Amino acid sequence: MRFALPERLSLQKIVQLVLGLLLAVIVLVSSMKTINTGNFSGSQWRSLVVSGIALGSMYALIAMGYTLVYGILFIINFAHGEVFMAGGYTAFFVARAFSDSGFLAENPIMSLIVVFAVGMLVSMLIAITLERVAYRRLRGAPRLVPLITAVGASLFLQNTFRGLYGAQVRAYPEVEMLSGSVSIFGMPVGKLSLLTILLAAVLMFTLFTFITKTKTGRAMRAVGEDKEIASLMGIDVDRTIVRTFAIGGLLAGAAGVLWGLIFQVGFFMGFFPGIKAFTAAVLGGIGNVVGAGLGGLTLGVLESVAPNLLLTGWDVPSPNQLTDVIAFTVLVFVLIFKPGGILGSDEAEKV
Amino acid sequence: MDKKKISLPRLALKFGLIAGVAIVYCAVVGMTDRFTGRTIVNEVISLGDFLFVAFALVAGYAVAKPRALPGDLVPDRARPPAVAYGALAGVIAGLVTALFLVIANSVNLRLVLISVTETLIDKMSYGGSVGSALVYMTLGGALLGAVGASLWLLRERARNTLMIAFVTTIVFSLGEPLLRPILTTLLLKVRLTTTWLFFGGGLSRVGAVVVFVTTALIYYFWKQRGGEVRGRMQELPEAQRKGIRIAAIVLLIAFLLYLPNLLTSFLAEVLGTVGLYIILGLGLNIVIGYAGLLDLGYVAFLAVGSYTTAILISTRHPWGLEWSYWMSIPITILVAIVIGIMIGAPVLRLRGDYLAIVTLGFGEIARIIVISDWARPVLGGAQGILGIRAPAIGDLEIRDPEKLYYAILICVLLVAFISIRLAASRVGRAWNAMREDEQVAEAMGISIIGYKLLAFATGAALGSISGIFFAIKLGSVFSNSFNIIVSINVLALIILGGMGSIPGVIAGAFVLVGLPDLLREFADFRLLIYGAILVALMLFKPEGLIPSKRRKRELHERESEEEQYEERAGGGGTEPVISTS
Repeated sequence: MRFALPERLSLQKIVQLVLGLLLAVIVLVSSMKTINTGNFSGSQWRSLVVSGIALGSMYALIAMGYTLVYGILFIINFAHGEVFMAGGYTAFFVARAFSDSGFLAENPIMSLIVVFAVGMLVSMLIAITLERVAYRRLRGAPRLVPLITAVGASLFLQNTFRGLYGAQVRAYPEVEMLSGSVSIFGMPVGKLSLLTILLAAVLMFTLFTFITKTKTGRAMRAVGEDKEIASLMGIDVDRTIVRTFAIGGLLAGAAGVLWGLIFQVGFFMGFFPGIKAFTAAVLGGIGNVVGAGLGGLTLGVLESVAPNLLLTGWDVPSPNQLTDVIAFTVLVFVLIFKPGGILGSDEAEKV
Repeated sequence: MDKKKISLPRLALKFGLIAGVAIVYCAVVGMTDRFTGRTIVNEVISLGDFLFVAFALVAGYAVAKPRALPGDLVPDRARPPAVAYGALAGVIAGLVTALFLVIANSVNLRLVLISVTETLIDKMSYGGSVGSALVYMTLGGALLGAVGASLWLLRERARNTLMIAFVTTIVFSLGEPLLRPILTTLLLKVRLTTTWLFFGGGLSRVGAVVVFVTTALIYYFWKQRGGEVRGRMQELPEAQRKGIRIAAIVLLIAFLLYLPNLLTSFLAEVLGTVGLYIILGLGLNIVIGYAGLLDLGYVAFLAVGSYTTAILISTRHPWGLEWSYWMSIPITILVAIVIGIMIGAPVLRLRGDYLAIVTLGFGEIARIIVISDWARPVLGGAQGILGIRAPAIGDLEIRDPEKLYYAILICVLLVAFISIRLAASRVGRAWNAMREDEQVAEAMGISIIGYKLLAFATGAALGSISGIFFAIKLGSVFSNSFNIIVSINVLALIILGGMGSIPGVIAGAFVLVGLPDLLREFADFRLLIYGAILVALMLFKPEGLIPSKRRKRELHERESEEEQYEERAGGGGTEPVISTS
């Protein structure tokens, strides 16, 4: 080979380039227009960003489950949103019982710990059961099969919890310790947002250390690389996969309780966060733990800021109704421009 | 298969526990309570009791099912001790249920589990005390488990006859809302009534016996003589066989044309809905079954079809286009195709999983945009678009359910015909090749992206046709008709029938769309049951209930390869056995 020819600019690349430029122009013009209207003050933007980070932390926690399972089994665990719901919804009853008995007011820290523990354990149990009942038999099946199973499992879980706990939407009892806000660098930050961000950061850091430093973490990565060889090296593949699901479940359960404390719980609460967390995982590069964290935060902030920033300038009525469109649009654009995600390789696997 | 040694006590414990958990599950999600209201056989058994009966029977059946030891053939029948273990499984199932009743009776679970009410406990213990329920459940479980297991003591033909007759009786009873009016009209012509057959929402006692015995006799006779009939058919010359087949199709079509005369207009409407779902199913079948692309946002095309039609036709839309139907239909289909390509183009070069999520996202985007204030001036927001005229051919307005039924029927036949021809065409073969192995297909010169887009566009076009009818049927278009549930519904009916199988789609639509409309008891648990069906089918029968031949082969490829391998390995060992994995 004498010298490498510069790669021919393919039609696909040209289309991507044009689309990218167009997108950039639209974003710029829309932002300018919105800022010129002066509808939002600087502190309003800042608080939007903070709530976006809190939202993004929860997406990131859920996204870990997607990315871990994908990294090891190469299936999209579509029912992961329901794992998140199961924990958040079940822990609600514990929180309500504590609130009714006065324990919550007496000893808020202890009761919050118990509530989180219940939520995380329930989610973990659901995740493990899911793996055992639905996915284990399907290893090596044509790729459409586990995906459809996951859709079915998602429906099944959603409606099971609807049957168990009822169809109404419920709100967690008020935790006095978490209401109000603290001032950080002169900026008021809601205590609940702060708790969310801190807890998510701690959990994700623990996960990262776990995966990189411990034996189980290494086993997980090995199984993700090649199951057969991993099992030859003395790794119990089944157990490793169960652990992966368990960890994903624990994090999703924590996110579920946080979600309940900030918003509300109900049997349908897992659907949108589930899809968005998946988007976050793709955004960061699916299979990549750090990427899922980054992707979650990016998506959260985008969702919180973008509708107001991009749409207000065009006089779109009630832009926040279109929040969910943002997430999916982001997903589509990521897949067009950088299918491997922020931290992934450039080419998404074909196959 | 199973490496662990198979021991009957262990199986009894396993299946007994599974059955028990399933029974309790049905109770706590509220199925049992809801189902006791429906009779299966008058004064003998209700649908709620049937849950217990069915699970206990199946547990016994599963325990006694003969399993081959390595190297042996699967025995046809079980040995008598299996019955005792079947009974044991039933007892375990009964004990689990009774345990649940004891707990529910002593602890107030209703605070958390909303379905565990006093009435439920009453119903499950048949009005008696919980202690008496314990006795019933254990004894009943033992009896049912033993019955289920003893099926395996019979010869295959007798066993199948009994099972088919049993299932048919249940189906007859559940199909009462549909079958009763049809049979009443039919039997009236020969001066008979159906009052002896049905009672309330199910069969009468006499009716149950009659249905059971008749089915058993018919099936038994067919098993004995069916082979002969089929053999004689095979011997006929090709032309005659073709003639018989065409005659059968003509008869079927004649029956379908005559059907509305037998039905109430409510049933005609249900049939119309089933027809719409058949069109949707056939459309999605091209995308999923033929081309192997999982589209979870298929409802978007239904919405595109409905809304485009509504905008073009409606007399009350601000744009005031008021086109004629003949002009609007091609434009609607064209719009759907363009949107299909727009959605498909960015993601079709990626892995199939991404496509699933992105299409799901697009389905939701469609819904969100439709209900948003932003699109209200065009799409009407939550109020929807009203004033959609009925299409007219000359003076004939197609609006009432019967006429719409005919219109939909014609469309279904047309779409089915297109589907069948497509499957056999060059395009269909290209899709098949692509689904089975993209890289190999590409190497064979098939343009992957082109064919994927073609599949997507065809699916979109068929979906929009269904949308047109949807708009006509309601006379208006509302945003809340287009949610994810429609997509899931269509997916479920394809999977149930079998991906890529046209009879499968039609049967699936009847079961999953027609039945819940008729059985209101199921309405609340519709999605739950869909979910369970999807998972169970993927685990145990991924090719569906009426599989297309090719698909079946594909999904069992590995097993048949293993079989061949074993045959070869067992066949004297003259050939070198090379492990290829």
